[in-house]
Amino acid sequence: MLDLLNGFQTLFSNPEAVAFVFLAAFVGIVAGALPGLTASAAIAMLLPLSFHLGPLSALGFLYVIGKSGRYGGSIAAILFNTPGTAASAATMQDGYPMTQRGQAGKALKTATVASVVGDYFGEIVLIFGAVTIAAYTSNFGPTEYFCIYAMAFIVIGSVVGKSVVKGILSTIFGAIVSLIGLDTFSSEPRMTMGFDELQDGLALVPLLIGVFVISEIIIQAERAAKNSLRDLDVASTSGEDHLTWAEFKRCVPLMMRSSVVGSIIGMMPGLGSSVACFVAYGEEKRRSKEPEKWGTGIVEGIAAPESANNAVSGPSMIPLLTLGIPGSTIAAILIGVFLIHGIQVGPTIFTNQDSRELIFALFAAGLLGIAAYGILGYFGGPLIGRAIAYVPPRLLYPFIFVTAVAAAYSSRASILDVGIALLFGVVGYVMRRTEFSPAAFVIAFVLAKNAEEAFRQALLLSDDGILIFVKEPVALGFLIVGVAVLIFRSWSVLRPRRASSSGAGTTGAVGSS
Amino acid sequence: MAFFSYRSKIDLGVAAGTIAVGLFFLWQASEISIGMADDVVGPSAVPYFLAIAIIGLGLIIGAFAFFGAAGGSEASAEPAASTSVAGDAAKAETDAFGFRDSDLGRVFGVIAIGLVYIALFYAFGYVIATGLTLAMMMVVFGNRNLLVILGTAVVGALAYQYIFMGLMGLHDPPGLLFNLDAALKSLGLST
Repeated sequence: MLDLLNGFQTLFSNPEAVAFVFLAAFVGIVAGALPGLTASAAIAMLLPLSFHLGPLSALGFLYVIGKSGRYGGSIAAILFNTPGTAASAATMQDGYPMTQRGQAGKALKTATVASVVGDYFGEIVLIFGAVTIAAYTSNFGPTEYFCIYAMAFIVIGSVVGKSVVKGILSTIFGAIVSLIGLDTFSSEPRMTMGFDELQDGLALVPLLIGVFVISEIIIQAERAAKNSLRDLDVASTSGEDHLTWAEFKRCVPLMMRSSVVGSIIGMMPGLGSSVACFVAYGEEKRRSKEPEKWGTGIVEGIAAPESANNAVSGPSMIPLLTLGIPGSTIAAILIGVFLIHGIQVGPTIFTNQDSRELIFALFAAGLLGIAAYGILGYFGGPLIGRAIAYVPPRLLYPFIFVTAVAAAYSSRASILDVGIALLFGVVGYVMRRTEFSPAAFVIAFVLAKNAEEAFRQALLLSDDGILIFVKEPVALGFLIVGVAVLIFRSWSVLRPRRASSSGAGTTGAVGSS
Repeated sequence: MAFFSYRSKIDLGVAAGTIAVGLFFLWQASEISIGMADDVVGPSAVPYFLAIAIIGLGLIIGAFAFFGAAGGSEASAEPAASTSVAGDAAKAETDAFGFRDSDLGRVFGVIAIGLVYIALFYAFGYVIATGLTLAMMMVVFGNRNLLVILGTAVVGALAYQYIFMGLMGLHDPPGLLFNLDAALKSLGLST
């Protein structure tokens, strides 16, 4: 608790950081509310800007964009029946029917309150959970670390998309691409294809921009011909259209349960907000005395998924801070920011006094950011929605493209990085069209070098070769968890198909293999 | 090819592409020098393993697509996972499968503009490349009003020049064919 108070003191003694937290609250809401533009894409584009900031301003800025971006997605879901982010897909089911009934204001305010409750819950879990877990993980050596990385690859690859094989492949693609460049052990160039420029490896920023931003621009360009104007009237709200005290009280237990669901899911690498929102929605509908009303436009149908998807935000940082493993794409990007500022993520982050202060100040920034986006969203959500409805994608996306290429260039002032962003834009587009996972690709890209390093260090320490990974009980435990998740997920994907194949007498192609 | 459903055809293509990528990385891994490091597995072991895994998983995708395609209807080719919560989430996170609804003209338009941007950056420098790229992208996105396109391109390019090169202090190399900064200086319009 004292650490957290010190964190607030550190934060408020840095006016630049406070200003960037408020800016992030606004930027995240707008980015999240723009259909197609995710918080990850916004963070990727703004990452180079953070290089010019101090560590707390940079981390606070990007971390709060991740939080407010998740909330911002609900604005598009409620007003336009288009999820601004995948995390708000469940919110549409009750949000848009309310908008059609002229209750857009009530729906938006419910989403704001539920998001804030969920986010605060998740942040508290993060603050207390990370410190506790880090105390146990600080003794891990390379053997345990390699097995944790291997587990993360398998779990993320298995659960992140529709297809287990393609999910695993996405992680392997990310891993092999990250190994391009000089080998850290032998200093031998690897897979550089003769380009000297590739000896430093591929930079994270152009890769992120390509996979998340350029691929989205390509998809939006495809849609540009088919887009129709949004109905601006639906975004207007009346003064009496607000969440009542009775409705709020009815939602409180539901928001707390959904926050627990979101927090648990958030701690698991690969399972993100989109899973949390559907699990919470399904569970609360099942518990409801009037399940038939769900999907017709009720506040509970907004409160449950919004609490859950925002509760993911804090706990998804726990694997990053305690093990150095990003559980989400936003955490993967934040690893880059930590490293740029010379901070090694992992359990030692809490033992070093300077980094401990920074982390608690970051927690404080997160708590302040939640309040900031809550206030902005509660009073300004409808206005932001209307403003977005007025900005046509045909004007918006050309600017996003130019911003993306400028951001790619700015990471190392290299035009080669613009080419790399473009190349990975095409890669990202093809991945999205063929059910590969760009998120798994990016997370593996960030992790793979450390995983290889841990693997080779462990083998150097071992007298039994690779048997070291099964002789150490903790390491073996992590491997078993990974394999168990892989088997369970494969079984759960293949089982319904077998049932439908035998029922229909047909055998469809296996997209979800 | 009528034997295969649309999904199978795409997945067969995916399998072929995956195997090709795996073979490429396998070749690249074979080019890695062993080096002098005191290391058990050497610098090429992990790339070899990953490349072989890519080829193996590509073969699995191909096998599923080939052997699972007999008589498959488009309806039965829908992913079964979408009936579950995880399936709903995956559905929300992923886009439409395949390229049937793709507007490939616009796709190639965006990629081509990206390549042109790189060439323009080398030839004419940042601000001109940005202005022209902005104008071309607006056309690709369906803008047809010439005044809006030109106005947006000029104002946008100047704004980006100010933010990225001015405020953020990025390196702004002169164009190889035309140096705008030198031209403005010669006209007395810049210091």
